Amino acid sequence: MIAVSSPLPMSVDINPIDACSLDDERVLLLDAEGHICEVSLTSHEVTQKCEASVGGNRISLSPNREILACVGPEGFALFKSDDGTLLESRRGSWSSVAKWHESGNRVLFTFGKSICVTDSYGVPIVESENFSSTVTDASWIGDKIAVAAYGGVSVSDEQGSKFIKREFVGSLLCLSASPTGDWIVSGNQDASLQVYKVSDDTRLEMQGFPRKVTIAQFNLDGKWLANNGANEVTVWSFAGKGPKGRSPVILPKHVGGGTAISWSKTDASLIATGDSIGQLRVWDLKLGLEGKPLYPRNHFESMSNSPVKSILWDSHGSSIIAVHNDGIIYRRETS
Amino acid sequence: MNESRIPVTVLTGFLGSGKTTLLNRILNENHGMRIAVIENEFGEVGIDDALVMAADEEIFEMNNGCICCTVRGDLIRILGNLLQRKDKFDRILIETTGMADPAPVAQTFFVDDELKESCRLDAIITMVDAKHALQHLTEIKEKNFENEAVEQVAFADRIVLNKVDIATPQEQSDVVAEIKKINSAAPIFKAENANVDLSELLDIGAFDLQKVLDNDPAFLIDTDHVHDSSISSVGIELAGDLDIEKLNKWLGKLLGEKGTDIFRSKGILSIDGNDERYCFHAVHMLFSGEFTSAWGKSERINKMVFIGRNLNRKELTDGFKKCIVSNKTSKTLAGKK
Repeated sequence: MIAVSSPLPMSVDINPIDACSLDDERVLLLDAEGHICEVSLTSHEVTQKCEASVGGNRISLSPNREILACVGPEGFALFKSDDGTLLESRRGSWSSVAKWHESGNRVLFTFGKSICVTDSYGVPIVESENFSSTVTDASWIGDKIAVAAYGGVSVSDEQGSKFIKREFVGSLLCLSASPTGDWIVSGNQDASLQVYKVSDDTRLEMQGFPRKVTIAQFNLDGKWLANNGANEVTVWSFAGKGPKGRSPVILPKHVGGGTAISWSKTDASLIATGDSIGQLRVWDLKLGLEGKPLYPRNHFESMSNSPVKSILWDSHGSSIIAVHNDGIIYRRETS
Repeated sequence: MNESRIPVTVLTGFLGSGKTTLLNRILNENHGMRIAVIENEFGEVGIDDALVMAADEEIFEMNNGCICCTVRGDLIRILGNLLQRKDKFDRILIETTGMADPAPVAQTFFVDDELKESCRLDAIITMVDAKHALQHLTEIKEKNFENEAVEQVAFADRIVLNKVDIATPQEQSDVVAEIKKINSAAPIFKAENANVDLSELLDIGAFDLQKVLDNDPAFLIDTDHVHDSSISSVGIELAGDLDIEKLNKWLGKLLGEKGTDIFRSKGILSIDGNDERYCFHAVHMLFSGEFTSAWGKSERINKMVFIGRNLNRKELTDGFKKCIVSNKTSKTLAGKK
């Protein structure tokens, strides 16, 4: 039997800052204090799952959806996703990233100025030396690890032990590596996007965004990268020789910068965006022209004027779930 | 600008000056406010009701061509998390280490978009040890080394002269004289055990010069002090309306060329063709300003204060005077800042 969730918005009594899907009908929400709750979009039932004593910045589910990693201002923690049992936690430093290896047997955490890789139960596998500042983002590139800290991105060997630093300028806020590992991109505090081509050490910088760039994300096949930093979301083509000399496709008329950007997991050309006044849209890059504003494929009626914090695609790519900071959650069909 | 923004108070002061004592006093006072504290280490302040978060003073240079433009990356992160919490805070207090330069803290609130929208810097409060501060304030540092104690006084909107109970009257007057040399604009409150009326320290809008003058009309009256390469302040009062274009050009050039030496500047300005006061403030090269209350029937007098190193009163005054509209043909404002 296929459960049909209500199109009506529901509300939870927390202010979510991040979310992930347990399955197509259940969502886990995290707030800044570390409360984690489970929401059923079918029954609208809300269950307090667990509370992370490290506070809340982000959550991430293992690929098999059995283990939940939570990071916060005071460290990181791992929980069983079914009953919220705490498996392991480490306190003492700021942690803003938890990313699972595609195998599901390792998870990468930032921890203060270092990174830590543990197994699913929190047993340490890799602990790095300190980088130049608190690590702001990190990413897997296959078995390698890319780490963003002030003034550079460091990439490890395949054991995650030896890091080589690539010089970037200034304070890096987010990091995205293309799935093939050909490109590494950072969004920056000084309202710029820095691009590094691994094969020939080429560097590009896109400046002039009106705001700092806090989100930069490659799509499924690594041919597009979307970033915030302006009232429009910009999407750069990384196909062929990359973005040099090319203009981005513009996803216009967002307000206060995109607060959530989410690529479809089934169609590399579909992207959903949300903004600071709760607007939610889906775009089809197949219809986009470089340097031109794109017309949204889906422009949904606003259900909340609070910032969109997360957009989750279902496994079929046919609907999205929007999570607003005021606790309003709803699903919208996209096809 | 949205005035539901959360006020932020920055507490500085040299080692042992009593910052933590004041912080504990503020937290334990029965004011009914929810206060979030960002401090250097856990455990220094003790109260159950306050949220205390540890900071690690990560200072980053901005890549914007401004050599003195630095921000605190840790504050951006921590405040970003605090501002998303369900339990909202009435006030945020940031305690800096004894050796800290207050500029990166203040500049963080000028530079970061999200913080600008959600928080307003209310005041920089500097604690000074009445007994021991003089030796720090008069210490001659080697070339290229800053005297942090002097900079903390220079940046202050309010100064708490603490531990007066253990300082002789002569020691107190000597340190007050030294403070006045550096920063004649900041009111000084004498205290034992950091016991100051909190209404003098919190929610004072010290970055708004109009509020400061309402409380202290003599704020800009210059004290008699020597102008040399040390840090000092220059207050200017000038009648007449300012040409916004000339003013922008002059301030842009002044702060661009000398922003490293000019730590703070504030002003209430009468702009030609506009009925509202223009409130201006800057930290080093970063400045912002906005039109605020109407002049109404009150006299339109321009008031500016500069605090910094190597200040040349004549040059500043002459430059400011040249921005006055020479004839009374009104110009239309190109736009509001």
